[in-house]
Amino acid sequence: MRKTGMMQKAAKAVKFEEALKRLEEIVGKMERGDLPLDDALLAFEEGIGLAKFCESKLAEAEGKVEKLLKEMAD
Amino acid sequence: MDRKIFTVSEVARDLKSLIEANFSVIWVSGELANCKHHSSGHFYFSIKDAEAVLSGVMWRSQVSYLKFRPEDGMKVLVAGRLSFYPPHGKTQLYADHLEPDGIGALAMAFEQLKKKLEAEGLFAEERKRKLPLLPRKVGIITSETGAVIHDLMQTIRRRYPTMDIVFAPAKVQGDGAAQDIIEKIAWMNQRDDVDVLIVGRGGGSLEDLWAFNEEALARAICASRIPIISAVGHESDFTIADFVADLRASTPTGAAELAVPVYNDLLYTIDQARQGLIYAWKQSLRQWRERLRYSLSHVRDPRLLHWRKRFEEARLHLGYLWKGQAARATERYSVAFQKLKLLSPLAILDRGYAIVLKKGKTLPIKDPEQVVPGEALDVRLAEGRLTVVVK
Repeated sequence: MRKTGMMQKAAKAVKFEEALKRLEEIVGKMERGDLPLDDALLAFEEGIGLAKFCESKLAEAEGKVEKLLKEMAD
Repeated sequence: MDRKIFTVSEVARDLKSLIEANFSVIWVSGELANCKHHSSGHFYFSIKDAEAVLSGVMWRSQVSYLKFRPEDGMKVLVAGRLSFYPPHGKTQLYADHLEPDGIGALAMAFEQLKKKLEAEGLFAEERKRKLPLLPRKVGIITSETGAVIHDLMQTIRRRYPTMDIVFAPAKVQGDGAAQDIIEKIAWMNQRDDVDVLIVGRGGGSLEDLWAFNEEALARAICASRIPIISAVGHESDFTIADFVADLRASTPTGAAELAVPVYNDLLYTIDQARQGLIYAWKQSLRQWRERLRYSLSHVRDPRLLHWRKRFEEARLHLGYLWKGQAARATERYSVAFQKLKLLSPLAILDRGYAIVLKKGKTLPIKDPEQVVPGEALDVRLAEGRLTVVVK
C-alpha cells in the first residue's frame, strides 16, 4: 500500500512539468488563431485552469530544512 | 682428502638459513606473471625481469589490504622476505605488501573499477534518469561542516527561497565513509517527498576523495530511485560516483542550479502564458463579432437581437471576472454564444448553403423572377464569395 502512495506522489511531481508544457502548447495553438471558436473557448478554459494549477504548485514549498540524524521509521 | 658430504636436507637447511638471514626484508621490482588468485584467498605469482624469475605467494590476510587487483603483466614493487622451501626445493618470495610500480595503488584501483563498471554499462547515458523540473523537496548528503553545505543552501535559497530541503549529514572521507553515504541514500529513497538528491564533498587528495571511488557506493547510486547529482571535489576531480550519477556538477553552486529552478522565472513563464491566452482569446472574439455583426445587419429576427444582448452582457461579465471565476462566466457566455450560432445565418452557410445577392445590394434574393439572364450576382459562401452569371 505504501508503495502505491509513493508512486502517486511521485506522479504529482511530474505533473507540474506536464501542466506547464500543456499550457504553453495551448497558448501556441490559440495564438496561431486557427481554432474554431468553440474549441478556442475550451482551450482558454483549460489554459486558465493549468495556469492556476502551476501557480499552486509553486506555492506548496514551505522553506523548511529537515535534518536526518537517524533512520526515519515510516 | 677429506670431503664434506652433505645430505640434501642439510644443503637445503643451510640454504634456507642463509637466504632468510640475508633477505629477511627485501623490496623487489619486476613484472607479474602466472598470477593465480586462489579460491582460498591466497595469491600465487611469479615476478620476473628479462633474465630471471622468482616465485612468490601472498597470504590471504595480506591480500585483503590490496585496493587493486594484481594481474599478469603489471609492473610492481613487492615487499616481503625470501625463504627456501626444502620439500619443493624452491626459493619463495613471501609478500607482505604489493603496489603498482609507476602508478599509485589507488590510481590503479580507480582505473580497474572504471573499466569494470563501464563494461557493465553503468556509465551509459540511457540509464540515467531525468531530473524533475520542480522537485517537491531537495535531498542533500554531504559533510555537516565545510563550504559545500553552506554553498548549496545559499544557492538554493537564492533561486527558490521556499524550497524544502532534507539534509542528511554524512562522513565523506576515511573508514566507513562510503558505507555512511550508502546508508543516507537508502534513507532518502525510503521517503516519498524528495525528488532529487545532491551527494558531494569538497576538494581533496585521491585518498580524501576515495569513498566516492568505492564500488559499493557506485552501485548504490545506480540503484537509487531518486535521481542523483554528484558534486565531488573540484572541477578537475572525477570520481566513479561522478560517472554513475545522473548528473555531475563541478561545484556545489552548479549542483544547486541543476537541482532547483528559479522561482521568479517560473512565475513569469506562467503569467506570460496567461497573458498570451487572454490576448489570443480576445482576438478570436473580435473576429467572431465581426462576422456576427455582418450577418446580423441583414436579418431582422427578434430572437437574434435578444441573444445578442445576452452575449454582450456575458462578454462584459467575463472581462471583469475572468481571473477568479472564468469557469462560471465562460459557461454563461458559452450558452449565449451557442444560441447565437444556431440562429445566425452563418450557421446555415456552414451547412453548405449559400446566400445569393444582387451585385452591390445587401438583401438576399429569394425569387428567380428577381433576376434576368446575363445578370451578374454575388454568392456568399461560408468560406468566401463568388461572382456568378445567370443563364
